[in-house]
Amino acid sequence: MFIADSKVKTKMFFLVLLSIVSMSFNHRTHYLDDLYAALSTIFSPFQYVTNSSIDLTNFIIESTYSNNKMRSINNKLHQKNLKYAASLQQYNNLLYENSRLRKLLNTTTNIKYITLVADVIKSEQDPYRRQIIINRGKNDGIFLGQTVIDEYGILGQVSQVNFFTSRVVLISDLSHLIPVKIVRNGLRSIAKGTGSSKIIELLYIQNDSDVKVGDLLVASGLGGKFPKGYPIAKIISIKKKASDPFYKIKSLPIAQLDKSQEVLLIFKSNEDPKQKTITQRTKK
Amino acid sequence: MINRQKYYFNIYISITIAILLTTIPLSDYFLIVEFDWIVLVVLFWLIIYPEKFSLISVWVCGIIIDVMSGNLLGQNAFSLLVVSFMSIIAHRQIKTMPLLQQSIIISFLVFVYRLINLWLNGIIGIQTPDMLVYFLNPLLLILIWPLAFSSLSMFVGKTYKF
Repeated sequence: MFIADSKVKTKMFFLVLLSIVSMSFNHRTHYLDDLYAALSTIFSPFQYVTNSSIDLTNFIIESTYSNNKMRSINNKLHQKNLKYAASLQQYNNLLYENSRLRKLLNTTTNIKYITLVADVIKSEQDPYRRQIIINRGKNDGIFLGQTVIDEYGILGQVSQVNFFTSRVVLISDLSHLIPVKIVRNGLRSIAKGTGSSKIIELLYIQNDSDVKVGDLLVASGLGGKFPKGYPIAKIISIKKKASDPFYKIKSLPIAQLDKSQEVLLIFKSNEDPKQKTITQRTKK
Repeated sequence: MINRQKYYFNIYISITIAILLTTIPLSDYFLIVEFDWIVLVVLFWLIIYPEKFSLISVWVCGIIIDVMSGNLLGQNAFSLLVVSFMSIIAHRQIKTMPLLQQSIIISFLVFVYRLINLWLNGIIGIQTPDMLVYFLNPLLLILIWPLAFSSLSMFVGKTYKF
């Protein structure tokens, strides 16, 4: 029978103590944030290695596509592009009209947003959390709580910023809440992630309010974290219980939470990433 | 001296491979096969050479898992330390066991590891979406461990029979 000697026991005691101390410090304070970012930066090359090998296999698979298939993909993209261009024409017109009406009413104009494209390096390393890692960090002017979208809608927000990468919590994460409103009638609610990338719950909608299956939910902009008006989800089921004063509403996220390869980061026009890095450099 | 350096080289290589395995992105349907590779490698070295692989390196491996998975600094380190201590206490028995029995013990250790992690996550306020998948994963380890063990024993230069 092997009995752990006292040296191992004291080591064990001190290391466990150290882990508990570092855990509580990391949870309650911000002292360890820089250390965490530095450690993440040290280990990010591993993610790059796996990511680039996956990219390589994708490239090899794509290079075996036939000419016909490529042509059909190209055709599809062309049609999509045309559709987008057409809707953009309308958008410009609406934007102009909107700003004119706002001037008439003497209200402040909408803030303009600038976007930055980032690649998704890794998704979901932990079964509890719906998170992705993107290849932009402090160097590109990314900040904590920044909104991340894909081509369809809001994806999530930045939860941790490292030097060259950052971590994004998706709206389907169990701990994530986002203020939303229904486009049709402006009814406000809060959307809560469920851990599944297909379902988002709506909280606190009273069971006599006007909600329909198929209603579009957009960011309400309340709380100031998410920019107003970006689409979030579509309602897919509404359940009513006599004992519960609120509806049980499930909705389907519009953004492709588990498929997006490229994402966009949103900056307000006064926090342009390039300007910010330039001012930071001049300060140093 | 050369032999000693070779050991450490092998340990580093095996842990690097484990880190690379944990970074492979998997979709929702394959979460059940997202094994804790680093934990497996640590347990392997602790069973084979408990005197070569100190608790401090166990702790460092735990910190690596924390940083890779975005958990609190020290969370996985804590649970890994507890499980490692259990395996150090019983390493003689585990080492002499037949491989199938050994894999049942390993599966139990990883189960404990995940249980402690679940408890710590509960304290912080993170919930687990799918308990079944989360705890079926260690059970599947019974099938995986013989493979992992025999491929890891290549680093030691010995071959073990099933």
